[in-house]
Amino acid sequence: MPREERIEAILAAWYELEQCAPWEKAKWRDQRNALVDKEIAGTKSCRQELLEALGSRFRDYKLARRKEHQSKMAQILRRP
Amino acid sequence: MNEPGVVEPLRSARWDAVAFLAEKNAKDMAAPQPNLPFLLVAWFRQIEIFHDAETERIIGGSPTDEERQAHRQALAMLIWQGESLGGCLREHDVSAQVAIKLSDVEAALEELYDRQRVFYGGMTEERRAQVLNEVFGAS
Repeated sequence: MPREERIEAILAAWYELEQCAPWEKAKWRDQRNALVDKEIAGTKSCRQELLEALGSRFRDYKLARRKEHQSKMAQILRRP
Repeated sequence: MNEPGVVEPLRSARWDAVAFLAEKNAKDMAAPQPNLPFLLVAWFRQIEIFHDAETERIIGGSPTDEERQAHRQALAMLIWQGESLGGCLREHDVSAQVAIKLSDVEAALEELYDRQRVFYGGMTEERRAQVLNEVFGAS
């Protein structure tokens, strides 16, 4: 899988972990961590380090998802 | 009072809401017989409001030093309250009253610690690039 798609998969699961209902937190945490652990296998980096390194990408991702959501909401409100 | 022509930066009402909720929850948690299911729901709602304020003012805006400080304090408070709630859940089983499990609280806490590292961890750009290149290959 290309580099950007692998990063995007982690960011998407991380986003779900932040946004999901309280009773789904453990499920999404496990899903995100499984993706991260797969990527760091065989490297010297640990999970926390990779997440911190992806932090600025994650902030951009969250903003993009927020804009996407706002744009969808605006479309719904414009409908007759 | 401000100097003429200097406008006081607007503080988001969301930070006030976050601070209000944090204070309210802290008081409720200190009660002699705290209502654990209620506190759990209130804590998760506090995280949700914090998340909105963070996205709007810290990530998407131009935060003032005061707002950065409010963000950091609110995050530390959420972590402290989450640790306390986790401790209570280990002692009292409330699964019959609320669908939230200890593992969900632990997962939310883990996410808050991740967030703390992302915002205040102090990883250098050089190290960041090094980690990303090691894990994903050079861009």
